[in-house]
Amino acid sequence: MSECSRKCGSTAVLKRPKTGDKLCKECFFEAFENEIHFTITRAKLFRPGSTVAVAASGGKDSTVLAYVLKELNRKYKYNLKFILLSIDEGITGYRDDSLETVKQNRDDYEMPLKIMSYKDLYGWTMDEIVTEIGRKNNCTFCGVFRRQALDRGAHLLKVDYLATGHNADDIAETVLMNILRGDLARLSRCTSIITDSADGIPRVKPLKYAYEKEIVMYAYFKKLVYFSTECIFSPNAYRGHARVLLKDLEKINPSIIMNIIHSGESIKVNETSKMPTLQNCTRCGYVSSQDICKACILLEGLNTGEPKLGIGKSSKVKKSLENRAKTCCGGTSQCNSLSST
Amino acid sequence: MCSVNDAGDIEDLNNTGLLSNFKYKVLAEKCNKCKDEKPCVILRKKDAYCKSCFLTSTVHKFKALLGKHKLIKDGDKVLVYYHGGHSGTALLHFLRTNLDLNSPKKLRFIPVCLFIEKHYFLSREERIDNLRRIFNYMRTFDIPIYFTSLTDYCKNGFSENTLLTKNFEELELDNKEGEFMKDLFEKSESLANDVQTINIRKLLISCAKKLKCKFIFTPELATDIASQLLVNTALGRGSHIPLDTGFCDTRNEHVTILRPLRVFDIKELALYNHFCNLDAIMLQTDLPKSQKSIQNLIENFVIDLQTNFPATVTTVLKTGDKLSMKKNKNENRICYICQSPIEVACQQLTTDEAIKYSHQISTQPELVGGDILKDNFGTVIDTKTCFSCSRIEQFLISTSTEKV
Repeated sequence: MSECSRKCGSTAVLKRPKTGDKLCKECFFEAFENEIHFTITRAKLFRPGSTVAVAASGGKDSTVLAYVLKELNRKYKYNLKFILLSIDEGITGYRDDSLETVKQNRDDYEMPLKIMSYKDLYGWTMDEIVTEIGRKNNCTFCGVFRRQALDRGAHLLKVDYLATGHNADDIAETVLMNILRGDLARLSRCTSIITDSADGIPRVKPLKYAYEKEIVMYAYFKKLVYFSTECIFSPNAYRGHARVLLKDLEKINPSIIMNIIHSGESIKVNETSKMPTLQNCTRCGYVSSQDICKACILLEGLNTGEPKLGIGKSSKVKKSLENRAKTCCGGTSQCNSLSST
Repeated sequence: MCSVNDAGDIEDLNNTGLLSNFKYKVLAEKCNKCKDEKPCVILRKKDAYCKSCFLTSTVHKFKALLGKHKLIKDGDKVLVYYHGGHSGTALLHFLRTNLDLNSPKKLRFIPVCLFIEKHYFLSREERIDNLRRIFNYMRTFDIPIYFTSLTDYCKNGFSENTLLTKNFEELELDNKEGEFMKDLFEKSESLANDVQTINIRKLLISCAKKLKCKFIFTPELATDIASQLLVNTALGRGSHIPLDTGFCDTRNEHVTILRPLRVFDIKELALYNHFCNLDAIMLQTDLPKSQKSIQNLIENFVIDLQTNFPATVTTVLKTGDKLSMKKNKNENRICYICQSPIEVACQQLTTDEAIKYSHQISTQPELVGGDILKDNFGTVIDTKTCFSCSRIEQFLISTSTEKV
């Protein structure tokens, strides 16, 4: 049995993957919370007196995030107000159960809860989308819609910040995936702790330097209630490759996760390389790199019975959109509904 | 076609859709390029070429890459790092045939080859045999070859006086000298590989200076470059990606390293050698491959992904080509181990600080006092190493002190 590295005299219960130090339960709680406090203070994540929406899925990351934010707010007097923001994708057997967990969090942490549903926002539940598109590519819909749903929710609640539960593993995985996919725009911004979209509400990642393993340990030792089932629909295939690589690398040496984040932070895209510019979608007005945002294209595909419309390279999508504009009413799906009646 | 299944029913297999699941690829009738000859090579799983078009385009690709950068002047000496295999042979043949051209397109620089002996894990007889084979092999290309030893270089404290000779028999091949390297590899394969890469680079530059070469050609292929890029990311060397994987590495002010084979894959060069009737020398270049090192793991990952997603390597390469380094207003300071510029912090909180804070908070009995906004929690301001080399420094110190 090893002793706690902080020499408090207790027996260590875990070895920290980030540093290799061994800690007892109490010291681990202190270290874990203090690190997040350090991250928040040092990176100046929140202005005092602000309202923060915490993106809550009911999973371990968002549960720990909500709990730790509440604790730190009390301890260090951040003077922040929190609201839980959940998205109901409409996945039977997954989201309906995890939303119960979020409701439990709402009561436990005394934070108001707002649920935005795909059905209300887009007219489609994920269950319905999957029957249209099949098990492949459905993560594209869910991901695009969720991002926008969170933005819309944050606007509706008039909050100053949106905090998400992305942890160190998630960020390292995204760095690897963006290199493999050659996505320079995302590669250069995926490691920033605050992403400020034009006129939007800044998104912050207070758990950026927290390891997934430690988040699980923290939730376990604190006996937090969280929902731990994987989504019942197929996992994102390409991200899967990056995930497998990261897990294998982590086995060799867990500090690789921090190395990858460091690499991502110190990478810069050439000034000569073409980068997408942010503009507003001509249809719904949300931030987009194209004339029409991905969510609108995907929706149009769904509403006109061509669910594959927005899947694939954005250049190809653009082309097929142009073709549609030439042939019918300009992609507003009016002609389609006329011809079907 | 019929078969009887377990239940005894007769089934028509043609209707079960099994055969329709096979995708047949119809081979192109004519070469993609000249549209005349019968093709004999398929590249990128789709493009068919005849022999002569394939050879022309391969040589063209090599010369186009050199020509695009216009770095080498007539009469410059170029050190060619030869380490065996198909890539080395193809590179030598590219050079020989294009130096011998009688057209204005002929190459006009002077190549000199270098072989670095680092096979301490083989027996003395095997090592001498390798050296002799290489020595004789070089005669067919009529390019002078020099020999030097990596372990000798490390043992002599990276001295400029390390033996560099045309006569391979002068090399000291004592198996004991590799023990330090073996120790390193046993402690951490990933870091030992990284140390070896850094040392080879230093040795190449030192030899190039002695032989008055302004340039060095190294034989990395596209797959090697893609793997190196991911290895850099995993080692925390993200900011060195342009230097470590780009066409040219300008870290040294006197000698520039060029990677003229970074647009080729092994299949192209092996076929090139086959069509030109060239035999390559295959050496056991490394220790047996294991999954314990970052480098081997990533190499296997890239090769596997490449079989299912044939665009993987080119995508990764192109991503790398579009990256550059964050520059300080003043010049960045240089890491004394890898000679790369040291990263400058561009945000309010860096990974380095987060790690240092974590370590401090997990080892000190009392909570860290002081100002959380200003304290640097063990982060060295005037660090002499880059983020990644600070690990290597500790690793080398701990290995050498253990020996004493």
